[in-house]
Amino acid sequence: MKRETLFAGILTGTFLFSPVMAAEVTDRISINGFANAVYQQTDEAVALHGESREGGVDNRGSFAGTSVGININANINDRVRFYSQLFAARSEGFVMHIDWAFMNIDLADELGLRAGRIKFPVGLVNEYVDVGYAYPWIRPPRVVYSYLVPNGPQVTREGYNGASLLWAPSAGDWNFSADFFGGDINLESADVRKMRGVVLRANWDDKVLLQANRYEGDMENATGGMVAMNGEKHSVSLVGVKVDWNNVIVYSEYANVTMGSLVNMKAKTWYATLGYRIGSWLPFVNYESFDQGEGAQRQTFSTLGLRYDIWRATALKFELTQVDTRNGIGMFESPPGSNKTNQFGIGLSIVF
Amino acid sequence: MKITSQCKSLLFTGLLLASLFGTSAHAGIAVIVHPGSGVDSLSVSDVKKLFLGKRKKLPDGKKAIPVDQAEGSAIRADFGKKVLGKSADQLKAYWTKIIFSGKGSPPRELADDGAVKAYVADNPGAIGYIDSGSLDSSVKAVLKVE
Repeated sequence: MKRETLFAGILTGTFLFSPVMAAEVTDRISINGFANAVYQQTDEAVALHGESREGGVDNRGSFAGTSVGININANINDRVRFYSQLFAARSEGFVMHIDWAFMNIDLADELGLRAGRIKFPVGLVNEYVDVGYAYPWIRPPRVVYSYLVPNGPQVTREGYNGASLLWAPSAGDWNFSADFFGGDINLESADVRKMRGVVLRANWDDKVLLQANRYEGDMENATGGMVAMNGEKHSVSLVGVKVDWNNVIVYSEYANVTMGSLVNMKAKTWYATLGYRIGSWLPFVNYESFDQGEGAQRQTFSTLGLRYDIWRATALKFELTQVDTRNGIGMFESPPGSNKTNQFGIGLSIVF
Repeated sequence: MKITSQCKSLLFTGLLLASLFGTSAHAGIAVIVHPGSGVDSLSVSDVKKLFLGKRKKLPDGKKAIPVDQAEGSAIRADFGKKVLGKSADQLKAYWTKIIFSGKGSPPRELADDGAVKAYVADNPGAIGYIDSGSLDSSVKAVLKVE
């Protein structure tokens, strides 16, 4: 397969250098990694999707959220830098593949051009969505960061093939960024063509981050249950806020999704997380809502969570969640036995 | 230079005390640049932006190459607190998001004051920080933090 050949090429290029080159290579190339070990179980026999591409979480338990990633960056020269990330997940049979790989060219001090395969940037945490150490939850809120389920705003975790113009000016304690991006996305059962969007961010001293996103793309080559999407325009408008100030932690996002003329693919989703950091402990509550309007699907998730930074670069997490399928099957494979399902999870996330 | 065994043991005791008493062991922090640099002084805010990757150039237009001290060292923790305004854990979280978003890399890490001075003296765009007591004419101090 092409992606495996590419991976082998990168491995060869990165690791099989002669000892003489070692000093120069370590100067130019940096390697980092992350890993997540996750176990989740519900009290419902019907699988709950939204956390894995194959299979979901049910009353037999699941390690689907377990994953590992390797990040390799290289300075090519003063203006050009290469970024890449390899990723493998339990839910994909641990096949290591290129998550994203692109070059960044500094056009000016505050302006960069990126081209290649780039992580889809819509959403507060999507660019590091698989890096559990970087956020409080075991997995990011499903109603926004779902996999290929026909629910939520379908903020895909796949990279897009294309280019991005990233402008990042600052003024005093404020840092701003505008990411104008375009290209196409190839998913397992559909392609998104003529994909274009913008992500605007305002960051006050890393304490408050405000974000607004708009993305549009044309659906093509949809197969299976998604065939009705062919020729439709998919759009996501999303606003988000993140706070980390005086030990108060807030994450909240609201997304409005449309799929052309398909009324049953429209949805409004939002979540809000509120936590308070006490030393190495971060207890938090999270509420998620997915709503397709009156008579259509509605679903909520209520979570009590605890993150404990057990050692440096190591976080242990516990979650208790109640899923309420007020209407429809929500993110379940088929109608669940009860409209209230409980889930618990435990996760260990590291970065290195 | 000839060092007697008595001097060695004194040096050892000093190092032991320094490691035991952590942050109290150094007088202050000096932010340093290449001696030939056109930059004469920087504010805490300037240094913070350079070390957090939010600014890529020094005021003289040279591409900035920030260099850090060893992870876990007392001076790095002190610099983080007094200049960057972040604890070691907060810095780890900050760089985690940037590295795995493909938006940058943390400053290169060097072993100690001597290594930082040698690197800064060799590289016109480099900026580092050392104990004020280690300052000499091989580098130029642009900010001192007590």
